[in-house]
Amino acid sequence: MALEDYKKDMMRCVRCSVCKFIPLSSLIKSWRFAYGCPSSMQKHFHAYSGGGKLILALSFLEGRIGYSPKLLEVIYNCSLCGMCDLTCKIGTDLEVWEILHEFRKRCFKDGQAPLPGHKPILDSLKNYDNVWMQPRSRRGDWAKGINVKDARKEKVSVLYFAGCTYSYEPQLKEIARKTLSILVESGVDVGILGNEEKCCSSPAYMIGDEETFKKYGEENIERFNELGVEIVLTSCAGCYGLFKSKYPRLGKKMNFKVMHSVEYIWNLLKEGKIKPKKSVPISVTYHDPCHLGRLSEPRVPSHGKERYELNTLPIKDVPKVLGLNGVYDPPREILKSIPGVKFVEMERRKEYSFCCGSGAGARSGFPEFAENTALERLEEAHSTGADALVTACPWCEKNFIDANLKFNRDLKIIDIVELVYSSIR
Amino acid sequence: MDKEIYRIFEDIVGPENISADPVILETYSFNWLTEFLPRSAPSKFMEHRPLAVILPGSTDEVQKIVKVCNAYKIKFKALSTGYGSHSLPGQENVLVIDLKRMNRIVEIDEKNKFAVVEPYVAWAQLQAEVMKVGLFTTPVQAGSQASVLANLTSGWGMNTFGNHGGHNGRNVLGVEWVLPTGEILKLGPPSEWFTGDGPGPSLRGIMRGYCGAQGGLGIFTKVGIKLHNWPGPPVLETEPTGLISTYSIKNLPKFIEVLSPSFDTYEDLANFLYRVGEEEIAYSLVRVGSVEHMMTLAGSISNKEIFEQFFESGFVQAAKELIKHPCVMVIFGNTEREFNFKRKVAYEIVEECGGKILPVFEEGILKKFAKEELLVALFGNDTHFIHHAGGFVISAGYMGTADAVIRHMGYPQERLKKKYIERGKILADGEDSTYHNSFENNAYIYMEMEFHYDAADPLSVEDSREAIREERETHAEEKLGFEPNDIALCVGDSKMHPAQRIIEIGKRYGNFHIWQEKIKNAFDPDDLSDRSNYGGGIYIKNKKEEK
Amino acid sequence: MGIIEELRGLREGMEVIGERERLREYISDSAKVKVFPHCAVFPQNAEDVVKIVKWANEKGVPLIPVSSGPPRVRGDSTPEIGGVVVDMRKMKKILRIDRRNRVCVVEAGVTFEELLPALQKEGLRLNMPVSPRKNKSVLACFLEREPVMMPRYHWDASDPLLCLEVVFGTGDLFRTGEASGPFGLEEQWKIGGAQKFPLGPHQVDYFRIVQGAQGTIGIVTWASIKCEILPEVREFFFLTSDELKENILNFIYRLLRLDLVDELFILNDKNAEALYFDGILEGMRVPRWLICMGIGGAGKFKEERMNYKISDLMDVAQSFGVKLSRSAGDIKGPEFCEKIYSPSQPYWKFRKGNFREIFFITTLNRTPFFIREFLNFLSEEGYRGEVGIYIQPLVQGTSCHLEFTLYSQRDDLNGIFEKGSRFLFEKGAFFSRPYGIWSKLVYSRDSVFTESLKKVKRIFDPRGIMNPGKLCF
Repeated sequence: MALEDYKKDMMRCVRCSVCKFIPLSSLIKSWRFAYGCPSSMQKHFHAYSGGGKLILALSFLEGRIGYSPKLLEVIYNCSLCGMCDLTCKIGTDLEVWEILHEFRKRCFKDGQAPLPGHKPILDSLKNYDNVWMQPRSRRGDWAKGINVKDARKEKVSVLYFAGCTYSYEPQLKEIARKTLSILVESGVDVGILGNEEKCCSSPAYMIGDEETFKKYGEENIERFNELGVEIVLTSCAGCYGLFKSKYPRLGKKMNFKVMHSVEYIWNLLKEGKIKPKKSVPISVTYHDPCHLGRLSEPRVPSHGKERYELNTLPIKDVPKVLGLNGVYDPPREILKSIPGVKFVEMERRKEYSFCCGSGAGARSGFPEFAENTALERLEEAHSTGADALVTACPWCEKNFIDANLKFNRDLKIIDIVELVYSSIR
Repeated sequence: MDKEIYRIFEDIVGPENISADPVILETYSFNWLTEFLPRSAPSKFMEHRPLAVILPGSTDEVQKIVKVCNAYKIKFKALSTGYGSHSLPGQENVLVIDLKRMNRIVEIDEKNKFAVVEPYVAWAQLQAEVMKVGLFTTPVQAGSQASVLANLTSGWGMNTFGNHGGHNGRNVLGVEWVLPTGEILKLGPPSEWFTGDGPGPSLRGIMRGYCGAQGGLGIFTKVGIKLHNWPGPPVLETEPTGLISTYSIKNLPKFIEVLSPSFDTYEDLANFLYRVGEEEIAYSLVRVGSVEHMMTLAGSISNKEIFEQFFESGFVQAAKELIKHPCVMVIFGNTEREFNFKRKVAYEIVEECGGKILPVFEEGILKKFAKEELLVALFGNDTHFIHHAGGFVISAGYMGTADAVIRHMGYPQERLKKKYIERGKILADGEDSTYHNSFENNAYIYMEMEFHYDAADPLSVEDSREAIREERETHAEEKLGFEPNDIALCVGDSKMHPAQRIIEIGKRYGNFHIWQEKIKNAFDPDDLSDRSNYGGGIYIKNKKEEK
Repeated sequence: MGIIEELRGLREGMEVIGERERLREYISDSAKVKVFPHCAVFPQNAEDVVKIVKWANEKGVPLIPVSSGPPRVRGDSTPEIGGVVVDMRKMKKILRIDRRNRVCVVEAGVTFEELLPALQKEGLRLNMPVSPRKNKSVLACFLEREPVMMPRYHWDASDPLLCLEVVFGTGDLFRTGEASGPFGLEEQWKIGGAQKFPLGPHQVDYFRIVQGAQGTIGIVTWASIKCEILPEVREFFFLTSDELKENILNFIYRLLRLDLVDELFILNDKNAEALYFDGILEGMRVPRWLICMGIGGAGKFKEERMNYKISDLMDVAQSFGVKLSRSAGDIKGPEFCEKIYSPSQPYWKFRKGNFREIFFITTLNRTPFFIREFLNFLSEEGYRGEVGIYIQPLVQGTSCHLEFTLYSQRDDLNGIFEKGSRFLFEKGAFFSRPYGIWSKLVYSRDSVFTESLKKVKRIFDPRGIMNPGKLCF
């Protein structure tokens, strides 16, 4: 599992610049919203694009460049949103995302990471098992007052995993509460781990800390297996994406299914277990979080293993995954089912959704980058004429809320659960 | 770069828009076809890094930068989306001027059917905007992400809808051009864009020819492009298919059809091309080689699936027996009458020329190679699908009549291709991997023969270079004519430096290399606009310096 | 040895004339100062031309290339400072007509009168100007980027001119585009080539530098010219009106969008009278404005093509609330079509007596502005003559040629012409073909363009022998 494994892929980049845009002409609907790469949009130099980082990885392996503040900045001034991976894969088999991630792992391995902005995250994990430097003992406080089973004591079929942000972030706790309430009140056999819940370790994974990821990943899988739950259900796209697409790489059997609350709630709606009765008159647009969307689809990295057919056609024996099978329909169906809600799409959506800017340590490492990326997305949302931007990820929400304030925008930022909750009561 | 001079550039663009950091510079030293340049061993990196990279945000800034370069004798080269080694400096100590910040669509004149764009407007961006007003722009062959301006002014001008839309080298209207000496030359009326010709002779002739100056004669900052009617919806709606075609178009224009006629002989194919041209029925008419070659280009699925579904399954083997010379034709009608007429004529002339229309969209495995895939590929191809292993080069080719093109496509190419396939180091995509598309009611046809190699395998690169060399020499020996296409891509081969090859060919074509040298000296007396891809002068210059 | 003797000495039998009366035909009537050439030489082939040009370089003698017969209205082929006229009219071969590739290759002296019937025999036609004069050189016409009647076949401002063989002012022989090499025409034809692709060779479009140069860059010996298929059936339609209203222009724009008609242009009554009625107008009804549209079909599907196109045309007309007819007043479609495609001698505009033309490039939607302004100007100047107006959409509708023809026997035509030209220039007219005083106007405005053109001139004609005094040279 090394950066070297992907050297051939790096050499096969043709610097076409596709990675700077959303894919294909028929998806680009305007000049304004044609760009896909937040880093390239803001920094412009080719280095900041997906392809640019592939070139740098090759250059690094060939000894042409070494570590430097600029190299680290280029590598990490990126939310690892995966858009470049998608657009490249429309025409090639290059594993762009894997290479970008491997480069981060290499930085870590060589002691060049974490960056100063990321160190607090890892320290927080080490000391508190969460990324917010909050005491473990208060992890379960968000659920106080909700009559929910304690999964540590009772066997449940669904484990609701709140995640660090929903557990601790004051503005967002309510979303976890509402989600849990919906589950409990519709008779789902659900429980929580309370203050025994530990971070999924997505931030650590994304910044390249393989060791921390392994530790938390294995511990979490073991715990969930022990609990005997059928489903691990989360409202956090970050956690969902990691459980779904990265935990399997740890090689431990996962005796449970992973779901996001939008999937589960959509099932409840379909089964009639919850009924949206009240009209919620609002026009909304929906932001597909990267980790609920294109990055949620499990993919098996090739690590450069290939064979040739037809002389020079390199065949990787792993499926090419573009992220077309992320969770796109359930949130849309939910929105359509709520009376009064007028739903309008943004141009960049589903697997080619434009990142919020906060992922993969971008927010803590490069706050200005994260803010500007969020602003770009807010402007796109605003262009639809919608009153509100709806999403299903606390990291996205937090970043949008902060950008709203900073740039004086008045778009409402709403979690999709809030609309469901309002409508079913 | 000298610190003081660097500071002057910083003052022009702001410190965040210039860099001499090796990390930044590396990504301007790598490109498609860098491995093809003559070196002791293939490398994905150019021999020289740029001096620095600067990002101007306006014509004014570009001009100031060029004037500073003139004052301090700094060589420069501009690029926009920058796809191909020809967009990088080919010598040392060159300032790269990356035009990424200049990405505006300046104007869309709906009535007079033209748009004016800055360098970093990608084709798909312009297309999305002009479609809203019922117009269409000929898709840049380098892909939907590639610069429209570069295609018109500095590259080639190939596009997949040329049969209706014309060659993009001929779709150029007004141009704004920062000369190597720093003056701004406007082709056409002072502040209008509807024409770029005159007064008197057209200096479009100096700007480009068969291909553009590729950075050797200054910097183009705006261009007017002729547009065409679009009878379809203002916005295309798509959905993913999960099959070969990653996306299909849900709201295709009403009167559109994609046909795949196939013929048994080259002569029948040529006759068909002529007849289609006479009857003026095709919006687009391309040929993607044999069915074997076509099937390797389903880029939106993985190489694995390409191999398993088309080759391992025996499909290609069986299809080859039945399908000799397929092509793909798109028919559009502005009205139902027009569409019905064109369709009827298409079917009849296919029969007239001894061909058949392949039922590709109705049955069997080719159903997956759906209408939408081809439309998307033709509409706005994302050209990286041709890079199975990062290596793609074209040999020779021809721009001329269908009869002459057929002669090129015939056995000389296939004989060569077969030999190199048997050597095992280039893609075995069939001997006939000639791509062609046609322009202006088949007034002339462009053809190129494609070699796919593995950019990560030095032996594959070397064999391709050898193949190109042999092809070029065969081309000359067998008097196949019109070799200038050989040098348009500015890559070398196993025998010659690209500039050297230009001189060698120039001698047979009116000594154009000498005229180009004179033009270069007149417009760039201090030789500041990187001449590596302009004419053959760099070869002569390097030789002189060696002596 | 005098000039004439030296020229004769270049090749045995080289024809050279020096008699003043015979040289009179090279002078433009409109020239203020009438300078006679020293003599005129008549090359028979490219080798002759090369010898002449090389000789002129040695001696520093100006050369003025001429390929058409008189009269020379615009003055581009009239000597400014004397010199030798290189009269290409003896090079009259139609080298090839290629029906399959829809192209012909003609030497410089081939006229419309000669070429059109030859093309017709092969089922071909040209995208050509309205009734050019009979003795007009086809090659010269297209070298001057004269406006052509069928915008949908006008892909580029340079059309239908394709490849050239040219002797540059240095004496170098060069072929452009697909014709550039590696061998001569015959061998190119043998391998299926047809000199169709005009660009190049390599990174320069040499033909564009020669085109529009008024003979100041070199002398063209032959050119390949794009042809279109001659219709076997055709119809002509007119839309007539008292004024050029916006919806009429929108209708025309729509036709340009749809590529629906072949011929498409606008004439006013004065031009239509001259063209159609041979100048005899008594009792004839001619609408104020005629929008002229032609549709044709050939081959197996001709009738069906005509049917769908005419039906579609009528639908478009209806949608704009305009009515089309196969006649315009007393002007009948078939005869009109005949007229526009027949070379005229004398040139049809002479039917109204003396005239001067002012023409430039603009866009169709700006033509009402220029027309209104110029007619007001003429009125203020007390102009008493007639004004012919011709609007020709070009390059598939992206621009158009607007032409005012001043027909007058009573006014100071030259004076009005000069003042009118300046007036229109100040209003934004783009004189892309700068004859006479227009050169002074256009080149004085843009020094960068002028300097760049001079650089090109110094490359291809370093001694400045090619038609000195023209353009900015």
